Amino acid sequence: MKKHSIALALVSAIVSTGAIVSSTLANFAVPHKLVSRSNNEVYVYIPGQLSRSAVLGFVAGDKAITSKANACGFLRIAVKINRPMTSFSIGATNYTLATLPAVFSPMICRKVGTTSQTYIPAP
Amino acid sequence: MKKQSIALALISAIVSTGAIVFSAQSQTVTKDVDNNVSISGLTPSAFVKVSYGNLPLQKTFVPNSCGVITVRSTIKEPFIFFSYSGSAMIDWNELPLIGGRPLCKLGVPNPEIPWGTLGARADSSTSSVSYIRSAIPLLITSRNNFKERLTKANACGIASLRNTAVWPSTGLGTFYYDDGNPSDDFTLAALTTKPRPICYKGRLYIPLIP
Repeated sequence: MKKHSIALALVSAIVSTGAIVSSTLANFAVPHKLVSRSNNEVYVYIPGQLSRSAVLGFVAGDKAITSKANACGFLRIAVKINRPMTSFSIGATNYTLATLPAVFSPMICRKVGTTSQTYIPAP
Repeated sequence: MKKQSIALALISAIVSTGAIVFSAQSQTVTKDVDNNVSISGLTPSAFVKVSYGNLPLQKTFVPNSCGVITVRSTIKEPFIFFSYSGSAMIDWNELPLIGGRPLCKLGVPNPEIPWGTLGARADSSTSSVSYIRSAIPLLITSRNNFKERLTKANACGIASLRNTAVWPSTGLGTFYYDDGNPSDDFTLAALTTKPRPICYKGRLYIPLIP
């Protein structure tokens, strides 16, 4: 019962913003979210970090989480029923999951020659 | 029941935004740092013909008994613009005319013919033939060889033109492609250099350039 309530809240948060729009380049340049089609999970993508060596400390609700950016300089946080998150902060900047722009397909990281390159779905 | 309600709410939400737009990809031609050319935005699995107007063509020509090489240009093997043994590029159209004079006289190249200074050559005005005075075989390189390369777009509508020895990208010259509709003309030098697009889970992905 509790799990279902959390999932419903998660979906409601997305719905209430009306923020599900086509994936544009601008959306990928800022923290954004991706709603998984296979289940009700939400993935939050945070670009613009230092690659690999950057360990990011942020707060989701009242819980401190630490994560690491990939070689392309972005990190992905899975928001699950058993790990809900409605807001988070990076440094002094606060984000609300509901107001993050949404995308339909994830950004990905691929090796190109000796460097790592971020790829986004074509608009 | 509740799970179904959640799923239904999610679908309704997506539908209600009216923001799902399916639009045709615009076609884009780019090159990467290794001069591999990519054409994206094509119909998936479409066949594409690409013109290469400047492919190098190399062929060894052997002199006749009096020391004259005949270079005959054909549609299949054009030798209109060519070079040999490190010479400057020769334009057949600018070669001096041979007139009615015989090529050889007393077993040597006819001295009455205005052989040029670069290895000495003259031409026939009636067909695309060049004559080069040389006692040894020459490897002659033509630069205006035209060929069409047939390729196929992948599932994401990307046609890749790898820069290979057989199909060097420098041989594209001023090129176009045809996927049913002929494109505008492009040149390799004018193409934007960026990592080539990729196909991921059936979708076209482009590099995010800050």
